[in-house]
Amino acid sequence: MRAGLAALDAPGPLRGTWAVLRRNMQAGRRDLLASAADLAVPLLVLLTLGYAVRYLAPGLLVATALLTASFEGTYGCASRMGPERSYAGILATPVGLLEILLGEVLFGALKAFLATCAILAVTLSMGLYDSATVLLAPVLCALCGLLFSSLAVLVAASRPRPDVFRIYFSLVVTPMLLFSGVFFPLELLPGWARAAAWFNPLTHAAAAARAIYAGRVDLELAGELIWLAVVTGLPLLPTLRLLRRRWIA
Amino acid sequence: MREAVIGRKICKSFGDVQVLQELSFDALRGECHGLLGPDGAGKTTLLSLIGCTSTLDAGQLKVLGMDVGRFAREIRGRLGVVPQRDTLDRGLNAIDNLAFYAGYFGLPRKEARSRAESLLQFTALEGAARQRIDELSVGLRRRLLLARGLINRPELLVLDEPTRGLDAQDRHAIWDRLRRLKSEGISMLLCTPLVEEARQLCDRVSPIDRGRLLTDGRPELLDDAFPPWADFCDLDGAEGLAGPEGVSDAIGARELRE
Repeated sequence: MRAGLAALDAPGPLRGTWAVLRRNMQAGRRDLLASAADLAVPLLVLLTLGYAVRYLAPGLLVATALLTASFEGTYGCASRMGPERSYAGILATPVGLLEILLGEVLFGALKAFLATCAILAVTLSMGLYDSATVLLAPVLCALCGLLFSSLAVLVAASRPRPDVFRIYFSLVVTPMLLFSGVFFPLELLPGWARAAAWFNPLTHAAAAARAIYAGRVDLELAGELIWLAVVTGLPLLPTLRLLRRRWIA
Repeated sequence: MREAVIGRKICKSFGDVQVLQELSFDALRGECHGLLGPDGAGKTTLLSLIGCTSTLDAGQLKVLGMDVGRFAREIRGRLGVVPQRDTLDRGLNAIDNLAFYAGYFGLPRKEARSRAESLLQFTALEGAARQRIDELSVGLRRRLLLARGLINRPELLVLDEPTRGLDAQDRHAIWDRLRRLKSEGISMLLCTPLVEEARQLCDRVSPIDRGRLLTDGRPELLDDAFPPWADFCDLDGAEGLAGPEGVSDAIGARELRE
C-alpha cells in the first residue's frame, strides 16, 4: 500500500500553486483591457502634475501597486470564490486551499507588478528620478504587489459580500493613500497622524520608493524593505484559516 | 482489495441536523454502485466525505484502500468527481476547462491537451471546444462536467445526480457514456433519486433515506418495491410518487444482504 502511494501523481504545493496561477492568467486575458484602463488614473495624475511636482512620481508608483492589487484581491478573488464557483471545482482535485490562496496572492501581485512597471517606465521616460538606483524599483514593485495582494485576499476570505469591499476601499485603502506621504510629506501632518502612518504599509513603501528614486541606498531603505517583507507574510495564516472554515465543512 | 469504498458507522452532522447516522456500506471495484434516495437523504453529504471535501464526525471511511482522514490528497488524485452543481470554470472555454483541470492533478501540459481533446470527442463536444461555458446548454455543460471528471483517468468515478434537470435526449447521452465507461471496468458510485437511472446503470443499489442505509441489492430487486413508473421524484425532478416512508417500508423490511 505504502509503495503504491509514493507512485501517485498528486502534485506538490509548488506545482499546485502554479496550476492555480496559470488558470488565473488564462482567465485574466479576457479583461486585459480593463486592467490597462486601471492605469489611467495614475498616468493622468503623472502627466498633468508630474512635471510640476517631481515629488509625486515615487509615491504614485507604490500607490498603483496598492490600487491594482486591492481590486484584484477583493472583487476578482471573491467572484472566483463565490458566484463563479471555480474553487469548488478545484477543491475536488489534489490542489488544496493553501495553493489556491498562494495562486490568488501571486496573481494579484503579478497584476500589480505589471501595472507599476508601466508607471515606472513613464516616470523614467519623463526623467522624474535623480539616480540610477531607480533601476532597483522593480524589486520594490514586486514586494508591494505581494503585500497589498495578500492583504486584499484576506479581506476577500473574511467576507465574500461585495459591500464589505466598498468599506475596505473607503475606510482602509483611501486613508492608506492619504496618510502615507504619497501626495505630500508626512511632516505636514500632526504628530498623532504621523504615528498612525507608521502602521501604514504604504508609508514604508513610499519611503522606500523615494529613497530609490533619489539614490539613497542605505540602512534606512533596508529597514523599510524588511518592514514590508514581514508584513507581507502576516495575513497569510489568518486567510488560510478563514478559507478552511468556509470551504471544509 | 476488492472494495472501492468501505464505510463503517459514518456519522455527519451540520449543526443540530444529523445528516448521516451510523451509515455503513461497501462499494466493489469494477461495479457501478447506486445510492438511491430522495432529496435530503444524505447522498451528496456522503459523496463529499468520499471526495474528501468534507470531514466525518465519527466512523471509518476508506476510499481505494486509503483512510480519508490521512490520505485526502492522494484520494482526490485518484478520484473523478462529477458534482451535482455545475462548478465549471467560467473564466475558461470548454477545452481549457479540461486542460487546466488536468494541471491540478499535476499532468504535464501536452498530456493534458491530448486527454482534453479525446475526452471532448468521447462526450461529443468537439464542436464546442472553444466556446465559453455560459454559451453551452445545460446538457452540454453536464457532458463537459463528466469529461472533466475523467481527466485524471480516475480509478473511481463519483457521480452526483448526473442527469438532474436534463431532458430525455440529454439524459440518454449521459447514460450512454456511463455504460461505455462501465464496460471499460471503471468503478462508479452513482447518486440518484431516479429508480429508472439506478435500474439502467447500477450493478448494486443501496437505497438511502434520512441518513441511513436501507439495504443493498441488485437493481431487479427494486422492481417489487417500485413499479417501473414510480420514482422518488419523476424524471423532470417534480414531486415523487413514492415518498421516503414508502421506501423504508417497502425495502427496509427485506433482509436482502445478510
